[in-house]
Amino acid sequence: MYTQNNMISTRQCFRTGILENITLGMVVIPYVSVNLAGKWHFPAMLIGLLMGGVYMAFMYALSKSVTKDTLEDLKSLKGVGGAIGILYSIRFLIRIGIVLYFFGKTMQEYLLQSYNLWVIIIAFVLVCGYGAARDIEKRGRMLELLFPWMVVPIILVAVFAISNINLDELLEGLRGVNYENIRGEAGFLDVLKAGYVCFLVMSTSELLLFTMPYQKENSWRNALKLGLWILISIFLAYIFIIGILGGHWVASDSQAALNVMEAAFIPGGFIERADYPVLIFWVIGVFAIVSGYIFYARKGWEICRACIKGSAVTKGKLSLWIVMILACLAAWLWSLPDISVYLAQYMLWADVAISLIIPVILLNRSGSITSLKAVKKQLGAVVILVLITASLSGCVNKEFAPISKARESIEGREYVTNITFNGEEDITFTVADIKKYIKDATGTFETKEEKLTGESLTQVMDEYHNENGRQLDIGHLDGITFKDVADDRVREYALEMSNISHMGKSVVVTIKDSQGEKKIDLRQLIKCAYSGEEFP
Amino acid sequence: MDKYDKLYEKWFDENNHFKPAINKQLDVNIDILKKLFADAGDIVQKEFYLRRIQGSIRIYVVYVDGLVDRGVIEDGILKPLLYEWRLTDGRDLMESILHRETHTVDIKKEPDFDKVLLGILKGDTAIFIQGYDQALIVSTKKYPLRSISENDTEGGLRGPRDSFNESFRFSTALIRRRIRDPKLKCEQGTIGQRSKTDYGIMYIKDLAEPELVKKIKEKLNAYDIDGIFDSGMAEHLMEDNWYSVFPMFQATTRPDKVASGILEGRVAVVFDNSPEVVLAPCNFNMLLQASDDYYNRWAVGTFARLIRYVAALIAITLPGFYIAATMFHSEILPTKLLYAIASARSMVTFPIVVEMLIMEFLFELLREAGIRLPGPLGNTIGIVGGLIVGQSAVEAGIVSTIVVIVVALSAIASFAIPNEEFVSVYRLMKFFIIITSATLGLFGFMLGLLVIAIHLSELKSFGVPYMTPAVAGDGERAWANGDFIFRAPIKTMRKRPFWTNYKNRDRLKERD
Repeated sequence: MYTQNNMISTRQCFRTGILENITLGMVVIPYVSVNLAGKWHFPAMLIGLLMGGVYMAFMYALSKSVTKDTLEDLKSLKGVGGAIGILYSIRFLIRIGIVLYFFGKTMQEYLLQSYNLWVIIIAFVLVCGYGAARDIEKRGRMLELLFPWMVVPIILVAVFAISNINLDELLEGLRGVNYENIRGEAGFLDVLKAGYVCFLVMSTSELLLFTMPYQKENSWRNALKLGLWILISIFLAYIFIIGILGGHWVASDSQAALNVMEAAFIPGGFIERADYPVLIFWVIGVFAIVSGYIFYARKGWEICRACIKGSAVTKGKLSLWIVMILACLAAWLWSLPDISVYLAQYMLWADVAISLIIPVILLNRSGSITSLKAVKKQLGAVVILVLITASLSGCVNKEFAPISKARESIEGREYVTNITFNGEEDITFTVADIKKYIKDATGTFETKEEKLTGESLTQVMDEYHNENGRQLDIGHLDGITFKDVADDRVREYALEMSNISHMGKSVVVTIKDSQGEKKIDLRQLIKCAYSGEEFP
Repeated sequence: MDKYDKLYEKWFDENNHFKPAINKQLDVNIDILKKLFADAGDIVQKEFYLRRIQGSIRIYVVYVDGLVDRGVIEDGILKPLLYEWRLTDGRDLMESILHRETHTVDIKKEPDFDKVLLGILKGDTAIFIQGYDQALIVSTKKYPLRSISENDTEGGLRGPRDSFNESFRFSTALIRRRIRDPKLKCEQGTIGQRSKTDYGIMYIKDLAEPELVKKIKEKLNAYDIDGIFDSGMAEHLMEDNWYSVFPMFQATTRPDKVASGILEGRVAVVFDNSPEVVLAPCNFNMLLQASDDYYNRWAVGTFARLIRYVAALIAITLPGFYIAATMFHSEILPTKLLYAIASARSMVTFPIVVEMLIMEFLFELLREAGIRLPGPLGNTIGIVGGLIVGQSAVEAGIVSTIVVIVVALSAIASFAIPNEEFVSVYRLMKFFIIITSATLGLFGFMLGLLVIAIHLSELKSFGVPYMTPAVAGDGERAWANGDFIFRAPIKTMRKRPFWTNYKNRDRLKERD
């Protein structure tokens, strides 16, 4: 009755496509292109977008030629179908692993420093599994509903952060002026490689091949609209990120892009930091990708099972749990430096090739036997590659451990209003005494000063915590002052502060020395620290 | 096993249907009725003799005291039959009583003993006549009922104020009064093997999808249950997603809401003894709509809806967000607000999450106590709880002032939701979000919301996606009736929603 037809609407397909394809691209592509191509980052990004566009067009063309049940139809190929099913399953698991690892690390660094990465990943995989346990129609409805929750906050932040873009600096950045020291002299092959990696980030668009056949009206207009929106969104995000943060910062930190959101000023000041809510809504996009991959990884598994048993393709709950557990393990594999090298190589050279070759062969599955032989050979090569990388497990690492101690409850902290760096190692914290803040009803408070000594900011703060039992909170600073601190030391402090996620980057920094006084915001200081430029 | 147990075993089948047939020998029927209603003091049974040209004829009258209108029985049936000498023209006695002698319209012959018994128990009067294997059923129902009163659960500033009461017939009458269309159908039946509760499926023949009506009938007849005492019980039997906390029917006490639903091609199910009529299909959006939205100007209606959507969001998320922000991500809070919260918490013994749970529990306790107590006392408990207990809890350092504000705000926001059943869901969901936020901060907060969103997007009420029109399966169709957060001017609401019979989608046309 009504909508029970196992189809999705044009709007659902569009929203699913956008969520699955812009979430990672917007954050990762700026880092990849600047990090790998240096001053030629802009052409590299354009090459990546071009390749991504062509790939999407290819997927659309294929989707016009296959039926809704393409994957289920693999069953008719018997043994080969089962092998393709399990291969697809493994491929998606590898992809889930890298997304989960990157996402988990981001969440850990920005929001949950005192949590083990496993907790974050497992909680997320459970929710993704819940989302993946639905048919395509319900999945379409789910992502259609979630779409505005991610897109509207991003648009709002873009609007509120636009004033932070310095147009001249942006244009220079796009031309690569002063970007030479990021990666020495990047050659033509480096640019191509960077473009290719950008394209790899966009390879989530493979999912369109499986989604589009379910669309009620799978027309080229709809596909073109979707493709253009994906490319334009990634392009605009790129401009924003480079324009606000500068290439040096972006090239140094794969998660730097998230700092763009911090630059947004929300009118009325009812939220101090805009990046936190946006980061949280970004979870929806990653959910779309991971739940999609789990959905198809499970399908591949079920096809293999059906081929072995000779039964129909069914959706068992056990397979979902197995895929979820394997997804967590895949994330762990990506955290192992020895294995991630092989996985990265596989991703670089084999994964996209498989996603291009196998659909083409599937189209000819009812054709000549020679094509099946070709499939078998390629399958064999890829399976061996995957098995080799998988067998290299067993390394030990500390990557999943918490990266900081748990924070004290809000009444157990000292709220720092100003930090003053004196000379090389003296740091003075001006702390607000807020015990009588409400009782006095004046909205004012007294301050006290804590003079400490140490090599780094975090070390000093940790020592204070250990000695006094109260934690210094630097999330609400009014200002930072450097008094007679050498430039190199200022840069060291700035780089350290760039990695403290709960510290606002819009704080005003005053640099005092014998020549006078300079005022810049912390974001600008960090940019200079990364690029090695003179302070403005 | 006593003698009655043996008789009941003999007379009733496994579905509690009465097996014996009406006997032409009146004594046999009298014997059955006397045994059947032994020890039932409220059943009145009496034998009368009619004088006719054929001689003296015995009749036996049975009814339930308290459920009948004695005036109808005495003036409309017994007086004409007993005191007036009738020279019959030789026609059949039962036919003569049926068509000439009684002074009532609602009288019929009934050959099935089971249905006769059901009629008696519903408040009809049964007349058994010597020599006939059928009985006459006279509608004499007059239940002890409260009158139609002002709606106190779904009030509004503009629009009709009447509401359904527990009478099945009054409820159907209130609906028919608003829709004088001969195509408005009311298919009646009974549900409950022992309660035999009357129900009526009301819909407009050419607007409701036949498939929808059929499905509702199937669902109503899918179970044998002892008794149905409120539409809520039947609702839970009929829904597919029984595990979900979200209501799959729209229950309302407002006749205008039901009438408007029926005009949109929906189906109303009216149950006896229940002041709530249920409508299907139902979606999330409907549960946030109030009747005034359509009676006020479109801009005012739209604004009210916007307020309700925001209120719904606050009701479910504010406590969780507060916990996430204060426990995990205090950087998100404006500096002065953070200082105020930290300062207020300096005297509080418990961690933030415990503090919040204590206050929420206190609020739920007061609410529950307020419902159970009669009106004025209920109000008193609210004031006592809100002012005295809340204030004392703050002074004793059990909770902080900010938490009292957060809990009060989320409670006020939940009261803005016009459907009581839906409000309860929000209260439950609020606790879920509190737990996820207390576990994983804003990340847990979002995961909690994601779980709710995933669940909502998979729900369907009789084939209609629950999140329609936000997810309608078709973009154009979603806005066809202009009835989402934005309530379009009546002049532009020209189409009925997509679940209406596709042949009759126009609801507004300009006259030529």
